[in-house]
Amino acid sequence: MKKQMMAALCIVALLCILTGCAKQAEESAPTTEIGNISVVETLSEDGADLSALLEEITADYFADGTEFKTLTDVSQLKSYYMIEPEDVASFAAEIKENSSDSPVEIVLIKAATSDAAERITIALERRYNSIVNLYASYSPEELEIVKACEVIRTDDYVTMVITENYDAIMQTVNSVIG
Amino acid sequence: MNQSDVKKKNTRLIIMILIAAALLVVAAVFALLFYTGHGQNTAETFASEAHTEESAPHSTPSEVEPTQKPAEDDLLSVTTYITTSPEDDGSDGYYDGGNFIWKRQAFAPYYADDAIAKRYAECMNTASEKLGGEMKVYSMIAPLHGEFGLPERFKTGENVFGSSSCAEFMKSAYTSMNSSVTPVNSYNMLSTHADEYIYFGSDHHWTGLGAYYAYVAFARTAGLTPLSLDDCEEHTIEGFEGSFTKVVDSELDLDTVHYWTFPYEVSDTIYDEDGKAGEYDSCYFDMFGSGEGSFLVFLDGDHALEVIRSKSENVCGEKIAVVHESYGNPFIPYLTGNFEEVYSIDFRYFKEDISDFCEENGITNVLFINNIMTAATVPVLESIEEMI
Repeated sequence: MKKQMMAALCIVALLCILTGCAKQAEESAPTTEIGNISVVETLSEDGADLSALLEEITADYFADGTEFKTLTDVSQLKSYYMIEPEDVASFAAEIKENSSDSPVEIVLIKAATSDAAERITIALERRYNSIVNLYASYSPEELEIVKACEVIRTDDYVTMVITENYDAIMQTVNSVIG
Repeated sequence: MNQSDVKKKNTRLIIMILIAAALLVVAAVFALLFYTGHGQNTAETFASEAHTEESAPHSTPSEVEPTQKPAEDDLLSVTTYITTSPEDDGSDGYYDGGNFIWKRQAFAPYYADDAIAKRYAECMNTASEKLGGEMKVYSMIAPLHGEFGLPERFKTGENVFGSSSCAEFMKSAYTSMNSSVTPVNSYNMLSTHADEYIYFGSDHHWTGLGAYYAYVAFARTAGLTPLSLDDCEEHTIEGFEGSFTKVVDSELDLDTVHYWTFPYEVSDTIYDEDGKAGEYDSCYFDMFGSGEGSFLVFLDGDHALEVIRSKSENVCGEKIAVVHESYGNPFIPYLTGNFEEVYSIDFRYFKEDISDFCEENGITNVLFINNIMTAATVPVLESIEEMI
């Protein structure tokens, strides 16, 4: 009888080990899958509400009817900026529909990790440099606007704000995430 | 039950326990391997993607077969890309802001992946579909200077240029276009003339000569006889301070703008967003002279629409619209050697529906020209799709 009990205990112990492994694997598996994300949470649990911040900026500085394309899906950050979705904890972004007269592109991102913030910074700097080159070729006035802007990283937050109201908007941004 | 029977029963029980334990251990090992393997696959996926991003700019496309004497078919093939590298004097290259500097020239990097290349193809397919089945639709991607103008050593090691590969982007985009779009591969025509002055060093555009080789690629793809520069008159403007001079601190060599006037008459009617802006007897405008504005010699710079009419005896009876950004400016004048009317449409400023415009004007050919940086910018592709 003792031997039967021991056998049963051995089986239970092994099952526990196996179940434990599976659970650990489940816990360490990514909670999202690349290319299969339809909606991003725009508010991370412990972060600033970037969507509300962008809405405030739009209301304060672009109340003249400027038309924007608003990015709502994290996969758009991949196609627009080559930012990997899993690097993003939350974001808000909008681009002026017709930027041939003056450029407006606002991207606010909270990175998932510090390393992710570094990668996002590089990606946004590449986009920024591309915009600089673009305006250098055909619009000296707008080039000056773009050159006065910067990609800024503050801890896990990375921002690219390109607009003639850069300084004022960055004050608003910094008051929330700074 | 005697002692022997009990002993046998116990032995069987122990064997059964051992077998059960062994099976569970085996199952546990398989489970561990599965989960470990799964983790490795995920890591490999990420590593593979990272590797692609890091190494793609430097890798030679799989079907690239460098040849000394490329066949004509290879030059126009959308699957064969002939790579080249300039003479290397061993001097240092470095980044200045967002641009790479080497030998007093600046090179703009660009960044894209296969998904964006396919997105460009999708844009062209959509445009072709909207333009209708009878329209001949061509698509040309213009590679950047860094593809041909930097030595191999900047493609690996510590001090890297780091740009994505134009050849890989073009191959992926062109092979993803459906049969209603004719891809025009300018890459090989440029790479086989890379030792000539085909790109500016102080500006991000190709030169008038680089645009000519791209035009030759288009003409041959379209089954037309390209205009010969030998039949044209060459002009030069010295001291061009290109766009890079405004954005890098390094001192760059100034450029010379070359352009060629034709052995036949042309007229150029320019329209801006708010209407007709002027009518001229040339599509070259030399009044800007030296300095920052020299590139404006081509088509007077960027305008929503220009209609160039040709009196060449060699024109076919068709009209062509070219939908482009500034890379199209030095290219478009050569088309007067083949088309009676050439419609230059700068999609950044043109506000009309392009399908309707083509129908109203009897245009039966549409050529899209985008430099690869533009072709890899998704908002630009969306705006092109919206205007057709």
